[in-house]
Amino acid sequence: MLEGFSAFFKHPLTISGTQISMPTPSYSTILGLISACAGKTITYKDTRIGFEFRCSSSDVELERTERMLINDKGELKPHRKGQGILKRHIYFRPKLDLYLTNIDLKESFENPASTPCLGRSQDIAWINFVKEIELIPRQVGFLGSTMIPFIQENISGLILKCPEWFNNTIEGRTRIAGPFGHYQAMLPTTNNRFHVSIPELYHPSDATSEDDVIYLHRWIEA
Amino acid sequence: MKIELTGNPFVDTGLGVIATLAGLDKIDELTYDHLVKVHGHGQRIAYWNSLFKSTSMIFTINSLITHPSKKQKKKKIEIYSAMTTAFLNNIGNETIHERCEACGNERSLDLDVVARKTLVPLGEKDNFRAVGRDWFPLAGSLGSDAQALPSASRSPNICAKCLFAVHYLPLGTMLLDGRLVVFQSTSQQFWYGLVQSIVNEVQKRISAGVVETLGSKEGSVAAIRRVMAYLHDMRDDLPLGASLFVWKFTNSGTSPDCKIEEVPNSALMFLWKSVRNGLKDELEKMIVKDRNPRYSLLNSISTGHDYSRLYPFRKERGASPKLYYIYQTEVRKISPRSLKTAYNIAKYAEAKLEKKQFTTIQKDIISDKTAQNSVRRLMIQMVEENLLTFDDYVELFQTANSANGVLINWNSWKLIQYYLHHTSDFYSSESQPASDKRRSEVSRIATLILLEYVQKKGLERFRNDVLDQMRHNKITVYWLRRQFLLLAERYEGFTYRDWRKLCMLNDGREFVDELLFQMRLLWTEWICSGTLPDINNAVTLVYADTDEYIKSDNDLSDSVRGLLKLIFEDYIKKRGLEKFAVNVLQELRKNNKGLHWFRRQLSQIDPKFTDDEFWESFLVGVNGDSFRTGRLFQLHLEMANLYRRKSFKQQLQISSK
Repeated sequence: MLEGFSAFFKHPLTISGTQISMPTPSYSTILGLISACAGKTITYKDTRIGFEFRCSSSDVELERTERMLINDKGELKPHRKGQGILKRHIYFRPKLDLYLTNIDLKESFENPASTPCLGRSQDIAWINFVKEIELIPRQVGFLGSTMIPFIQENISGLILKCPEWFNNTIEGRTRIAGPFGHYQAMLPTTNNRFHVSIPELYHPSDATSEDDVIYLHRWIEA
Repeated sequence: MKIELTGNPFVDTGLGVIATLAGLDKIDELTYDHLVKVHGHGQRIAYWNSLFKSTSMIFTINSLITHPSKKQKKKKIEIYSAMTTAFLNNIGNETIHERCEACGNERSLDLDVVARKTLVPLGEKDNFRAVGRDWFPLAGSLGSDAQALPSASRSPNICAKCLFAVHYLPLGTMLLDGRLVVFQSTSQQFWYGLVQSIVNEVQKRISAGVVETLGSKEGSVAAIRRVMAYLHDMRDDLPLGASLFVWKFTNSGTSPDCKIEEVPNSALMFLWKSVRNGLKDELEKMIVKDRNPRYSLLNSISTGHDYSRLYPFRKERGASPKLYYIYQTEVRKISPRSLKTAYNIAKYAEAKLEKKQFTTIQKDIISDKTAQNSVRRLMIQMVEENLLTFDDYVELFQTANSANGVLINWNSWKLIQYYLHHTSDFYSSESQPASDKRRSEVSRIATLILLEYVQKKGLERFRNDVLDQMRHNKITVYWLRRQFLLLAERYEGFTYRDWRKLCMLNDGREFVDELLFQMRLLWTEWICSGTLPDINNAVTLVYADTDEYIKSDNDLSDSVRGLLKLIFEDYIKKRGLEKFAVNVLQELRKNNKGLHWFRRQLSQIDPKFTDDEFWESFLVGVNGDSFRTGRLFQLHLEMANLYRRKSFKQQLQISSK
């Protein structure tokens, strides 16, 4: 279970203007977080992921940015117009309950190699506890705020298309997006749970209620 | 080839527009052939987009169709239609092996190659072109606002379908608070219906020669008006649980911006029920007066807050009872029973009060305590006449035993105020079931006080000494403290912590008016109905006390409590428990013993209590005020609880023998 002061998960749609956050972290963001703790690249082949993300509130913050551009010679230079100001939609007091099927990663969270972040580098998080639990398969249950690849009409949530993971193995190149999933991300600002009947539901053995479930993500085949 | 929705609201709205123009009932039926059929050679969309004012808000003024340097309209339409047709022709034929960042398509379009191939033969300059804000909303632009691009290294990768579909966006969008709006919903059927209704409206306006953006000069009401119009025409029921996300954006000028607002299911349900109940016109009349978006109907229903125009103001009577009822039950989740109670109170007030007094209460009930007290007196009368119960009151005022005194939801007075202006009829769509009887901490204390009193002095004395005195405001916090001290000798749940929970506010002030009023309601109800409560239900604590107790600086310290325990144990060792009850507790109750006695006892164990300065500081509260009576109450209460625990243990020992 991780906690932080702030979180921001960039919506892939908005490059210009106010930066919108997705309601929850994407699976690629979580792979990055695990990789930071493990000190090596953790890919979709290494573990399955389930999570619940909550926060106490959300608002827009202002951020001073250093603007850069690539000139005609292909060199990265400061932008001639100087610094910019960006509005950014962020979450406060975020909490992330992370469920991983690869229990070898337990050590990575007990002694993280570097600071886990909930989005940007300044959105640092701390690890409250790490424990081994059982995930018991269920057909139905009450699901908290997470990201599911099945659009549920009766649940309030933003529809998103975002990459399952990124490949960042070619030196000198920006990262390359993996396959895109079509998701519904539930809003993290309430403690509501929703009754669902979708595949890949599991009841965590340490859940507070017998009917609580999480969705364990089934990766899209590459 | 089937065309799937992408999850990107700009692209999806564009596809929704095309599906509407193709006459499709379901967005699922959209295919590439429909795109070709609707687009033709692109002349029609080029002509429309050259007219719409929203085009520059979507594609900036640097796009092919809006660029001010291109003076000839015919030429603009020619190159624009050629380019959009090129996008259409390249769907599925993209050449860049990078995923589309809008929809995830495996390949992206090489805009530069396609633009050179299409535009240079038409006389355009042979320049480098990259995807920027002039091609796709909020896509960033190399060299200008490159701050958010990946290391400022490249423009976004977008496929032909996405680049094509967004050109139909001007037909499917509208203005709200100076920004364009697109919708997104988990219910595809609901979302597509909404897009269809906007497209149909825009087309009608085109036929009439109106090119202003839909919603222009309508302020913050345009979107809600459109949603209502759609709900009005909708053939099916609102999908269960559906909610709506409103994307407000602008891509023009130097301040591109985007904001997402949720219209939750409860808000949609309110609009749907209102429209279905023939209240569309009434709502429209209300919302045209909205000036400040913060207090607008859309914002109020989205956030679940009360909407001020529902209430009477000056010469206006506010909403009709039907609309008011739907708003309160759907948006604010007020129970039908609470609304009925508020109505009953208002109706009773009208019947019992002089016209002048009734008019004053109508006007002042929200802010004037005297008016509220008049209504409270009427509530007691209603209980006496069996027209109101304690449970009705608790449900209406949503009272809760929190960690900071027994408080009410003051907004509930607004419900009564509304019905004071609408006493002639009460609208209700459902019956008001009696909720389960609530056994609260208030009813536990009220039970114990009543039964202890009746046992000692009889019911008539209780009527005279308590209920009649309450009528004349003679029962105060001191009376309640005495009851607390008495009950602490026999029952659990009467420690200083419990006192703070029930009778003190966050800032440490004592507040017992509401607690006393609720107990008065209960006592009146029990006595008038002739059914006194069962003491067995009150002996055990009724609430799970899971709150973490945060000590107040005025609380007795653990060391003082430890000293009191030593004094108590020493006393009963020497004189016995019965003597303690008679000589200490009884004397404390009669005020024959007081702070001096405590000081003497404490000084015998801890000499610092002999020091006058220390003792005076012990009797001063954290804010510097005198805390003499409060401290005596704490010390006395601690002794009473020590006595109860000890006597309970003794009884256990006796019974086990």
